[in-house]
Amino acid sequence: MSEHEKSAWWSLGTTVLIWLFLATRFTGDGRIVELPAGLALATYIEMIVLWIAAAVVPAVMAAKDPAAQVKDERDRVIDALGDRCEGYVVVIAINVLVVHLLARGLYTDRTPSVTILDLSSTTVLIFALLTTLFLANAVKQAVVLWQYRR
Amino acid sequence: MTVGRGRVSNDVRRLREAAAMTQAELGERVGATRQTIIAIEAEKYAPSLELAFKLAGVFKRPVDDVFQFSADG
Repeated sequence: MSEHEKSAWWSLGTTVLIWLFLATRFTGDGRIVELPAGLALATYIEMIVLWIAAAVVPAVMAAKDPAAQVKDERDRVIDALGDRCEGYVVVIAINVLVVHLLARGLYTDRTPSVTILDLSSTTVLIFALLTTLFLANAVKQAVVLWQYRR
Repeated sequence: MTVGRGRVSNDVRRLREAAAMTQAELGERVGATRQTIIAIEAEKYAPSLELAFKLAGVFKRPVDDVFQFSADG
């Protein structure tokens, strides 16, 4: 397994773990709970710290063997495909949220047939946007790993 | 490696083995990783023109001796 694959596995694993950390804070009984502003901010800062730590660990390891970190053209092609898929996920997720908001505004008199997120809640909006970012990164790393493994 | 409707095949493995070279050595000479050489030999990755010329240069062959393209895939 190349260093780039190991790095993708690490990134995928830490992304899932940090999202699970967020989910434990933002959800309860399978639903998103309203967090006090202070706790929401603290959770956000903790998430940033975890994210930085997750990025620093492989960077420190890489510094020990810089030669193994050199990317050739195939690595760059795979990275570009991962980045493109990450972008698609962000675009799709943001549009889902926008359509969701528009539909909620348009069809106020109807009973929704699907679970409706209350995007007027700051907590729900923060969780939805952060989940979008985590999902996009997870998809990127999954695509990268799939490309290396196929 | 399928490219659009076509297919790029190659003789890199045969030529490398004939030159008694390891995948890592070949990779080092053309500026690619061993994994990339493995992927090219398995025809899972079609290299760029630049890398294809470098590989052909190592074997002292024209590019179309090393890489073949068939349009029917």
